[in-house]
Order: sequence, then C-alpha cells, then structure tokens
Amino acid sequence: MKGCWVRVEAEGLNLERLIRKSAGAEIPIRRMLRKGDRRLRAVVPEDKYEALEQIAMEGGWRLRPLGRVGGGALLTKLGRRWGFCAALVLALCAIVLSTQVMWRVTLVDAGVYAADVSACLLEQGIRAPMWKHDVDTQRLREVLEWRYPDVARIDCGWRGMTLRVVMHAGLAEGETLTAEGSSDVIALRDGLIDSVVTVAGTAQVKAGDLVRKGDVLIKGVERTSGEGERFVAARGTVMARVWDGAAIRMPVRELDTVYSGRTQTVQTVETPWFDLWQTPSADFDACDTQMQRLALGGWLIPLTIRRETRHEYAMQEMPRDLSQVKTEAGIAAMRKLRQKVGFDAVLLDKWVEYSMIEYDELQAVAVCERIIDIAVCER
Amino acid sequence: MLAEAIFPKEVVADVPRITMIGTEQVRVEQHHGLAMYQPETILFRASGGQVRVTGKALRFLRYGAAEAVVTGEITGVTVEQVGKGGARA
Repeated sequence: MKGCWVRVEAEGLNLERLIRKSAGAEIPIRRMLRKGDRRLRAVVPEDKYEALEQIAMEGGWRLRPLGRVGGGALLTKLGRRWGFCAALVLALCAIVLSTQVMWRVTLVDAGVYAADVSACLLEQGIRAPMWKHDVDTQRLREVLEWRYPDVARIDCGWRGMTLRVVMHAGLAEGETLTAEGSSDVIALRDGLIDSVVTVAGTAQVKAGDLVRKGDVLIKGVERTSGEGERFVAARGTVMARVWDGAAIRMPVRELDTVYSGRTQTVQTVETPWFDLWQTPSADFDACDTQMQRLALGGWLIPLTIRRETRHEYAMQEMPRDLSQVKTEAGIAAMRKLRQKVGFDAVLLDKWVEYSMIEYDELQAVAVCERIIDIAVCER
Repeated sequence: MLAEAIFPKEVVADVPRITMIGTEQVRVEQHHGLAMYQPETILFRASGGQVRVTGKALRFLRYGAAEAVVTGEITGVTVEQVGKGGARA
C-alpha cells in the first residue's frame, strides 16, 4: 500500500552493495541498523519492497519482511479488528450526534417562577431530550418576557447540551423572597377529588377527599434537599367530581274557560258615527261576545244592524295530566342545565328529580355529574 | 562561469557535502555510495576519495542516492582523499 512502510531484514555478505544498488534504484531507506556482520535491518516503502526484493534476489541476499511500521502497522491491526473499527466509528458518530441533542434544561434564579417556567417550557413543547435545532431560544426568550413582565431580563442560551434560562428579577438590594411571594392552588368549587397532579408545591389533598370551595389543594411550599423549605408558586391539576343542578317549577293546574250555557242576544243599528240606540249591558259577570253585522243599505245609506250574542263563562282551575307536566318540566330543566354547564360538556351521568310544591306546583331538578379541573391559582 | 553563478559550488564540483549536528547526527550529501557499514564505522565513497564516520551504535536515519543521515554516538568524521592524507573532522 502506498504511503506505508515496512521493516525488512537483509542477510548476506557485502550488504553495502545491496544498499548501493537500492539507492541506485531510488528506493529510500530509513532507520537502517546493522545487526551483526551479515544482517541488517531497515525500513523501506511498502510499494518499493518488490523492487528491493528483486535486487536482493539478483545479488544473492536473503530478504524478508518483518511487518509494517508506523501508520501502516496501525492499519494492519485495525484491519484485523473490523468489528472494533465499526464500533469505534459508531461511537464517534453517536458522540457527535449526542452533542446536537438537548439533554437538560436549567433554570437559574427563577425564584418563585421556577414551577411556572417549567410549565411554560412544556407548553412550548420544550422537554429533554430533543434536538437542539428544534429549540428557538430567541422566540422562547420573547415568550417568557411576555409572560413575566415583572422580570427585568430573561436570557435563553446554550451551555453545551444544556438549555439555560436565566431570569434576572431585578430586585432591590436587600429585598429577599419571603412566603408572601408564593401562592397556593385552591378549589374553585366543591367537589370530590378524583386525581391530583402536582407540578409545583405540595399536595394537601388526595383522591377521595371531599373539598369545599376555597380549600387549599396544593400548598406553595416545597422541601429542599436539607431540612429547609422554599416557597414556590404552586401549580397543578386537580380533577374532581362535581354536580350541577338546574330547577324548573311548573304548575299542575291550569285555568280553563267553562261556559255555563246561558246566553244573551242584543242588537242595534249603527252608523259610522253613532248608534241609533244603546245596547243593554251584559247580564253576566264574564262573557264571550259573538258579533254579527248586516248592512242595510249601500254606500248611499250607511246603516248596519249589529247583533251581539253573549255567552256566559267562568274561569276554573282544572288539574293537568301529571305525566304530561312531568315530561315538560323534565325537558325544561335539562335544557336549563345544559345552558348552565355548556352544551359540549361531557357528562358522566344525568337525571331529573321531581317533587311537589304545596300541591299545586311540580318542581323538576335536573342534575348532572362530571369531572373537571377545580384547581385555580390563588392570587 | 555561468554554472558557478547559478549553482552552489559543491554541486558544480561534485564534492561531498557533510553537515554535522553536534555529535549525534551527520548528513552526507553527494556521496557515491556506501562502501562499508558497521556499527562503529561507516564508509562512504565520494568524489576523489571517501568519507569515514566513526562512533558507536551508528545507524542510518535515511539513506538515498542523494543523501544519507547517520545518527548515533559519532566520534569522528574523516574525509580521506585518494593518494593524499585524509582531512579529519
């Protein structure tokens, strides 16, 4: 192989003549060492070995190769261990590729914002491990600065394979963070805890607990590696079973018109301006009036006979069909409930409860059960 | 004259050029071949004579038609002219 050198050993008499002949054939010789009266070792280029061997054969010297030296020897060794070479190449490739991956995210001086910054990074889709070129540090810095206007400056950069987010809060000298800087997660409403996922802080409730509105669900305190505590802005998701209801009242009686059968008929002649004689008043307290008009003349004689027939009636409360009332009340209550919780809400269960109110009203209460996140950050 | 103006003197005169670095290395250029090689003595053929290098554990770093580099514990370099007394270094 060109570029490789091989150590050779020549044996015979008058080796100086061999050396002169090889020099005459433009065979460079290096590291030539005498090994006795009839032996000599030297290093020659591998591609010139055949020519040297020919010279030695012609002159009666014995020439034998002793092996490659230098880089050629290394190539020979590597050639025998191709598996090692392949593994070495793969390892080098893996090392190079690993430097292009973000393995860790470090928050520096985040203070009470530490948990929220972590959540924000997750919202932006930044989580280790991921490719470094998928992380836009400039955009991330802008997002964080927009999210935390109270922070003086935010730096996002790389330190090797670690994404560093440095927050410079710009606090006045001597001012330190106290418990007042932290915040808790409280219950938005009453509910039965189904699951708790704590992002920051310490959970105060567990699945199966009954909580009231305003109860602390996640406390904004975390234990440090020592015995100390640090105050954080608590964050997390607390799923709980909640029940919502909507009530509708509907009367079970209705007012209906009942005719007594008694009637009164009166008539008069009327002109466009006045009646010729006044009609008597109705003999009944309440009546329906049926009116008929009959024209006497044409447009030359504008007289009209008006005949009134009065039917006496009385308003009475009549009971309605209860099943019909329940159906209508149930539908109305469920519609009202849907308006309250949202038509796209996913309900675990729903039902309607009926009850009588003072024997003349039916109340329908529609109730639904669902699981929602009741965690809200206390401000 | 023109050759002397362009080429070094030793090239034109075809004489050996010997460069010695301390007592550990000597370079012999424009030799006419290796006459003898022993660990204590190396003899080069040269124009008008020969060059003898003496010492201990002498070995060649390079050997070629144009130059040879000898290393080892060099105790002397002698230029021996044919028919004349040698010049010793």
